[in-house]
Amino acid sequence: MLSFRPHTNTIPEVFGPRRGLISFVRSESNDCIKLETPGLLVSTSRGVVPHLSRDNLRRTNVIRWINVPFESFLERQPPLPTTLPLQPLLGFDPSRHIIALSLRDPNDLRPIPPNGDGHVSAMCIRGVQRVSPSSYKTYVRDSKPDVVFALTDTCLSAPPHSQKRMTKSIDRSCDWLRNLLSSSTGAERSRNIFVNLAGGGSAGARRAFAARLVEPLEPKDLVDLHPLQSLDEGISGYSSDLASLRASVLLSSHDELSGLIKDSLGSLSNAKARIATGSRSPHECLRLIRDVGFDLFDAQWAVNAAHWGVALDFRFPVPSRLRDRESLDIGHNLYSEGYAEDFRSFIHPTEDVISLEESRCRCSACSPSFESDILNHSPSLDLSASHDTTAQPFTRAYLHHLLQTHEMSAHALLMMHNLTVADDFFAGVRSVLEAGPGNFNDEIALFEKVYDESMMVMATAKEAWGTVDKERGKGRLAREQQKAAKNDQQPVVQTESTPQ
Amino acid sequence: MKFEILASCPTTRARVARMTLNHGPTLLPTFMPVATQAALKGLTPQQTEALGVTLILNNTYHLNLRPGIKILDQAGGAHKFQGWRRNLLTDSGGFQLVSLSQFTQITEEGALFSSPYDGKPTMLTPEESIAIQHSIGADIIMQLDDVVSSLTTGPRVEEAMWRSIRWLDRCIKYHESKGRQDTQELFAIVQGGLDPKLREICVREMINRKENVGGYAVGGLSGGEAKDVFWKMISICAEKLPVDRPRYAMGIGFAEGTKLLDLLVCVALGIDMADCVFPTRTARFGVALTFRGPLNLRLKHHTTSLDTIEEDCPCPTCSSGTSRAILHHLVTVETAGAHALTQHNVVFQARLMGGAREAIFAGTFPAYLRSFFANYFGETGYPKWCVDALRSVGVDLLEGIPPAEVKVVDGQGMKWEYSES
Repeated sequence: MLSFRPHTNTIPEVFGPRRGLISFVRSESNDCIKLETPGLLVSTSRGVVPHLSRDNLRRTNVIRWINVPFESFLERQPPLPTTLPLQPLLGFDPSRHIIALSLRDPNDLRPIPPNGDGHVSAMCIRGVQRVSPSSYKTYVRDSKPDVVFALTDTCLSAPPHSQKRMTKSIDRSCDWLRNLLSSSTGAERSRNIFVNLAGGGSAGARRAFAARLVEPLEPKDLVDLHPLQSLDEGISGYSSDLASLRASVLLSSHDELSGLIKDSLGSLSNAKARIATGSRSPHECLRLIRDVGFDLFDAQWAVNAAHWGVALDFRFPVPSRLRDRESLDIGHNLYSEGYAEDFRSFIHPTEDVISLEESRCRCSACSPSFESDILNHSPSLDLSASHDTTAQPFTRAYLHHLLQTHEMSAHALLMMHNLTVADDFFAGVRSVLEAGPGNFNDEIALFEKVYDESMMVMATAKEAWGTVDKERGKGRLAREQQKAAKNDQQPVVQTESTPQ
Repeated sequence: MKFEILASCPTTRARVARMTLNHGPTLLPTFMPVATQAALKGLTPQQTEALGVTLILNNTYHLNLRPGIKILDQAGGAHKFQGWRRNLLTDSGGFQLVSLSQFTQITEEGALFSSPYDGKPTMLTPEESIAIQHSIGADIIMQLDDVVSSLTTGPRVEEAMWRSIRWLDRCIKYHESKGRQDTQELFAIVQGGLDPKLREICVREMINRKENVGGYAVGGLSGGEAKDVFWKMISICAEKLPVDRPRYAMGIGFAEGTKLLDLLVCVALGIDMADCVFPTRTARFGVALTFRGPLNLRLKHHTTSLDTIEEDCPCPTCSSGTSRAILHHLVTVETAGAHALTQHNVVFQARLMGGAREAIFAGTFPAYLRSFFANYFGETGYPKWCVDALRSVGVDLLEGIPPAEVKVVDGQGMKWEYSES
């Protein structure tokens, strides 16, 4: 059973920064998984945390809450997780990982046919599949996630959306939630349900949806959903899908974004957990914590950074040695030639002495260790294995080399590192919140000044990643040579767009 | 280097040895996974070591291009650069020069090739090759040899053989002049094409230099020659090479799918080490190796299988219960799918060799060979060249099989899982 408990000394009226604790008790084993909030959740792609093999997943102990979009499994019928539940299928650790299931990947904004009254369109490798609320309920029952995101009718078509469309979207989302909560269809009622706050970019629609959640149930539903008195009573928390929200309306400021979310949450309980997916930067996370009060973030920016060769290097609160700096990059684009001879680990303060507030990064790339238990393939000739597990931190120079040579281990190492940096970031948020909310606002302002929010470093790295991906293979050096020669002749060609 | 023979097979020429190099011991016979660019595809050194691997290979040609000698020197060698604390072997860089470079001309001075950087003619001399390998700092380094395709015939083969011997002398001289004999073992490479006489001359000449080399490699094979000729060349060299030096079959099995056999047959013929990219490369294409033959996990009939790749396999993939179905879902799409199969395949080859070591130690190696071949080829038929090669060292693979059930097939012995449709 999942529970969320906001720390009583920090809980604001409705909106504002808050600390809390999500605990999940597994009834079969009495395992209790605890997650301090604000905190980090990690999303999967095709059921795996990107770039992490099972042993590296185990090494990355900041991963506690794992979101699994179901849609990639729709390419086969019956979908694989209905024959073997998610936990054993995907090799997650029941004593450490909370598995949350959603139908769609909230960060996938590719155009897709609109949903219907009786189905949601989902994307898999074989194209678009329609999923009815009742099949979703079966998938949930059989794949046994710990947490479920209810189906939502999100409009992914180009805005603006008509009032009629918005009304339909709210009706459907409520119907689908009701279906998931109902026990009349024979299936046991799903527990630990999160609901995406529907209504898109329309303040009125968002308020209307929230009102529908808390209004008393119709008499016929009272039977179906017994003992619930409202839909809201059956759910554990709310999620806000920032990527699709941004796509549905032109937002000119952060205040508009948080304003829309507040329209939804205004009439809802402040004692339920709030999840935000699709945040664009740590800066945005900070402001959402400050202005709204979110508890979990998917930190997709940390994952993207690992895809594109960026080793994150930032802290919250800003360390004292950086407090008078401005517009620093939040990480290192390790594709850059500047790192070719840089033998420091990813995070390395310039001072010789690392102060107490900046102990060495604990990730498996910055603080690796060898296994004491290694496979022995001829036991009668035992090699008397070394039990010394100390290993040297991976260097920027080595990662630069791996990225330039298109070696996959670069992304595995960056993934372990970036998730750890993101987790430390939220730990920093919690520690500042503990000291007091006034402090928090000042620290956010400082963070916004010190670290570049436009994150140019990510864009540059993404471009370099694309170049290596295109150039690699036999004859690469010759191709690069030709290109360099061409650029020398026409040094002003800057507007050339990359064909992608 | 310490090279101790722990046991010898009373029937075949196989032996178990402990080779102690600058970065610890490695049990032989062994197979070396290839980390061309200073990384085993997708795995960290911590992961690689946990699989029970104690010796990997880096390619000199590639490391010389990227990151380059300057950076390797700054890092303090390839071990430190990649964070690997066990043994490492580098080739001379000559083979890739021939296979990857656009024009290469061999002169007495060295190999002349067009620089991949600027196309300018550049010379790789034996001294230069050793100097590069000194910067890399591998525990075993290879002499620069004059590589000709194994399909070449005529005087060029003999010329290459004699030149390889002269180049060995230059490599030894340079190596010793830098005082590296105690930390890096220089291996000689036996050449001579497919001509038994030339091979014998080459072996004899190189034995004369025994005090200056740490071990011997058999080179110039696996370029497309018939399997029958391949094993005979390996056999001639392995038989004549000194007992108290490790023997390395270089780059065996360039053709996909035959490596496992090459490896096992070579061990019976007296080979101690072999490298090959097969397990790691084939993993990225979705193929898992098992004692009953390879599984192509992209095929449709794996979509619903909840079995692991191999039941008693201790690799991280199988021991964590990864099903064939989820691997089918991941391979060739998610990098984590490639990691999972790479881990399994490296462990598979390590188990194959570990099992061979145990069997040689226990004196049951012929039975081990028979049972491996029965499992692997029982259904499809034994490749004739394997039967012949093993007969030459006293093992009859067909022993105990009723004559009516014996299936022997010509060809390389490829085994592949095909789609049923």
